Amino acid sequence: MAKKHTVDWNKVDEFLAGLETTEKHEIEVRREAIPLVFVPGIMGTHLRRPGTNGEGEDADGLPNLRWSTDTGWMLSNLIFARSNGARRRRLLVGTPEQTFNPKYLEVDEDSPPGDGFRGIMADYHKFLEVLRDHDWGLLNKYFVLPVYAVGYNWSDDVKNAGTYLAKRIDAIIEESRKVTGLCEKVILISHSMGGLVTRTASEISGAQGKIAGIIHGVQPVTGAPGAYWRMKAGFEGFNSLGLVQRALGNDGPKVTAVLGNIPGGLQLMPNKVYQTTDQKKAWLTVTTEGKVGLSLPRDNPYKDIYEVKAIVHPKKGENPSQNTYWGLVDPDLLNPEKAAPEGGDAHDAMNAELDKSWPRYLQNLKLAEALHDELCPEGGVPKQHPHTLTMTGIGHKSVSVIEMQVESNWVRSDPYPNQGFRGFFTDAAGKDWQAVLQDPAEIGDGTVPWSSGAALEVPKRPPPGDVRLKAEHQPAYEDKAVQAWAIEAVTAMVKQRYHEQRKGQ
Amino acid sequence: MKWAGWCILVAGLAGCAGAKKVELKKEAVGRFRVGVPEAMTATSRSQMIYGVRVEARRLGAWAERMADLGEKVVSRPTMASGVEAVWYREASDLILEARQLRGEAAVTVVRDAPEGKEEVAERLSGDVLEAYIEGTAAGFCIGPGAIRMGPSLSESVEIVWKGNASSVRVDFSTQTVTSPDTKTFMDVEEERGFAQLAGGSLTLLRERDRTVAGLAGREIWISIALPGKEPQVRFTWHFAGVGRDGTKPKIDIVGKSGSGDQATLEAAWEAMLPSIETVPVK
Repeated sequence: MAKKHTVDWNKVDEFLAGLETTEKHEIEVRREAIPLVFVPGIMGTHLRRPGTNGEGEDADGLPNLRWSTDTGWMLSNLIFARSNGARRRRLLVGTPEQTFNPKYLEVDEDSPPGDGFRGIMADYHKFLEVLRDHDWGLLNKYFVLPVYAVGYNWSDDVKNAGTYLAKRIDAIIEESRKVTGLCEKVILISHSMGGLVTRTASEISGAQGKIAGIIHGVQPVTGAPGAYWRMKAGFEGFNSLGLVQRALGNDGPKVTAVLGNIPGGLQLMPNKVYQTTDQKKAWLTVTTEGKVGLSLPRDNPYKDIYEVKAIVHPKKGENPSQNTYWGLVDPDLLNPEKAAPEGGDAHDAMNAELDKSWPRYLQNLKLAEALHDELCPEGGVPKQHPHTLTMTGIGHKSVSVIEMQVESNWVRSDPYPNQGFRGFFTDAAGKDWQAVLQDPAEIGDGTVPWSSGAALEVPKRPPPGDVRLKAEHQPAYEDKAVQAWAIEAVTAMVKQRYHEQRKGQ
Repeated sequence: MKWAGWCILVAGLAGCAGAKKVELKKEAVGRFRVGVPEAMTATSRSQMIYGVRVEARRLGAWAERMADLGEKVVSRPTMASGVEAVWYREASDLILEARQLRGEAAVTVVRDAPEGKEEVAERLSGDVLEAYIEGTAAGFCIGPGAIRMGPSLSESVEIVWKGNASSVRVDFSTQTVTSPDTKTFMDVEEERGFAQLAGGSLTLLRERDRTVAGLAGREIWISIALPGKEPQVRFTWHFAGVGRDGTKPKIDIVGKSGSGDQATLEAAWEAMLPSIETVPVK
C-alpha cells in the first residue's frame, strides 16, 4: 500500500523531504481550479418575485416568474398576452404605486445556485456546453476549468449587479476549492451588458484580485445609441432579431414603460465619452433636406438629451413650437396606468400633482450617470481588468448615430407607430412638420456600434488579442468563430496564470 | 330574442344542437356590468380612479395588513371619521393606505405621493373613499358598490375570471386613453410570425368587427400550436377607446383556454360579450 501525498501543481519541482525510503509513495498532483464564469447580457437572466420559487401567480394574477426567456413563457406572458406598457411595467417594476425597487425581483435560481445555468437564458447553454466539453489539452494536467453562469437582476443598478457578482465569485472560488483543494481566481466571460457588470465587479467592487482575466463579447463599453432608438421606437424590425428581443416590445411606449423605469436599462445609453464611428461626440441629429439643424449632445448627453422631457406634440397656438421631442423619455409613458394628462377636473389635477414618475426617472438616471462616470471617466480611459480581451461584433447595421429627418406633415398624428417614432412640431408660420426617426446604417453587431464595442481595445494585447468578428449581438457566442476566439482567450489566460505561478522556477 | 340570437348567445360556434344555456351572474366592474358564467370565479381584481387604487376587501383584513406592513409604517394620519390610514414606505416609495368599513365591505384606497405632497394624497384618497356608495352600480364600480366620481382622465380596471373546473380564463381590462389605441390585439400576422419563430403555428379562427355595449370593436379568435405544449385558443375583443373619455375607455377582453376546453370557452364568450353594458355615471 503506497503512502499518498498531495502536491500543488506549481510545486512539483520542489524537493519533497522526509519520505521514508522503506515505503512506497504515491504523489498526487493537485490541480488548480480556474472556474470559467459566464455573465449574460440584459434580459438574459430569469427573474422572479422574492419569496417564491417562480411558480404560480400572485394576487394580481401575474406570474411569480416575472421574466424568462423560455419560449412558452414569453409567448404566453408577453406576446400572446399582447402585453402593453402597463402590464410590462407591472411585471418588472411593480404596481402603479411602486417605482423601481432593487428588491422587487431576484434571480430565479436554485439555492444554492449550483452551476447557475438555470438562472440564465437557455440559448447561452449551447456555448457553455462547448466550454464544458472542450479538451484543454496539456492545461488539463495542471488545471480544472469548471463552467459556471452568474445571472443577475438586470433591472437593477449595474453597481449592485457588480457587487452581487463579486460575492458569487467568492462563493464559486470557495466551492471549487472544496473540490480541488486549490482555487484562487476565476476567468469571467461576459456578453453585452455583462461586460459592464464584470468590469464593475473587478474595478469597483474589489474583485480584481480574484479574477485571472475577463473576456468581453459585444460590450457597449461607451453605451449604445441603439438603446435610445429602442426607447423611442421599440425593438427594431431591420435586424433579424430573435424571439427575446422582439418580445421586448415593438413600439416606444412598451419599451419606455420598462427601460425608463429601471436603472439597468438606462445604463446602456451612450455615456459622456461616447463617440460615433466618425469619432464625433454628437450622436443625435435632426436634419432638413440633408442639412443638420440640431446636433446633440453639445456637451453632455444627460443634460442635452436624457434629462429633457420628450414632448412629442406641439403646444396649440405656439408657433414656432418649442417642444423637445428628441428627449429620451416621454413622461406620459413611464407609468401608463396613472398617466395624468392635462385638463380634466380638480381631482385629475391632484393626480397630476402627485405624479412622481419623472423625478424617479431622474433618480435612476443619476445612478446611470454615476456608473458611467466611474467606469468611463471623462478625460480618462475606460476602466478594465489588466488581463482583458475583447470581441467586437461587426457586419450588421447598427445605430451609431440617431438621425431624425424633417418632413412636412399632413396626416400623421401617432408619434409611436410600431418600430418608428415621429416628433411633431410647427414652424413660425404654423405649418406642421414631423421629425422622422431613421433606420441605422452604421456598422456593428446590430445593437452595439463598433466604435463602442471596441472602446476597450488596446494595441499589442497578447494573442489572441482584441478582435472584430462578423457576429450578431444576441447570438454572438453561438458563432463558431467567436467560440474559437473565446476558447483561445481562455487558453491564453490560463497560460498566463501558469507563467505567473511558475515564475522563477 | 330570436332563435338565431339564442344560438349565438348560448352556443356560439360550438353549434346549436345540444348546447346548454350558460347561467350568468352580473358583476359590475369600473364603468361596465358584465355577465359572468356561474362556473367562473374572479381570481384577481384591481381598479384605479384618479390614480388611486380602490378595492373592496373582506372585513378583518386590516389587522392582517398592518401586521404585514410592520416596521414599514411611517405614520398614521388622521383622515375622516371612521377612516383608518397609514403611510408606509416600500423601498423609496411613500404609500398611503386607508380604509373605511362600509356595509359588508372594507373599502380600501391606496395612493403614493412624492415627499411633501402627503396632504394632497390624503385629500384625493379621502375624496375617493367618501364618494363610495354601497349597493349601487352607478359610477365607477368596485364590486359591492361604486365610487360616484368622475369620469376621470385616469381610470383603469383589471379583473380575471377563471373556470372552476376548466382551463378557461377571461381577462377584462379597461383604461382611459388620450388617443385611441389601435395597436393592441390588432396584428395577427405579427403574432403568426412569433409562433413560427418558436417553431409553431397560428390559425386564425375568426376576425370581424363586433359591437359590444354599443362600442364598435374588433374580435379575433386564434389557435396556437407550439412544439411540446398543449394547443391553446385565444379570443380577443378590443375597443380602441375614445381619447379623454372615461366612459369610453380602451377595453380588452381576452379569453383563453386549452384546445380541449374550446367549446366551454366559446360558450362563456358568447354568453359574456352580449351581456356587457355600460353603467350610469351617476
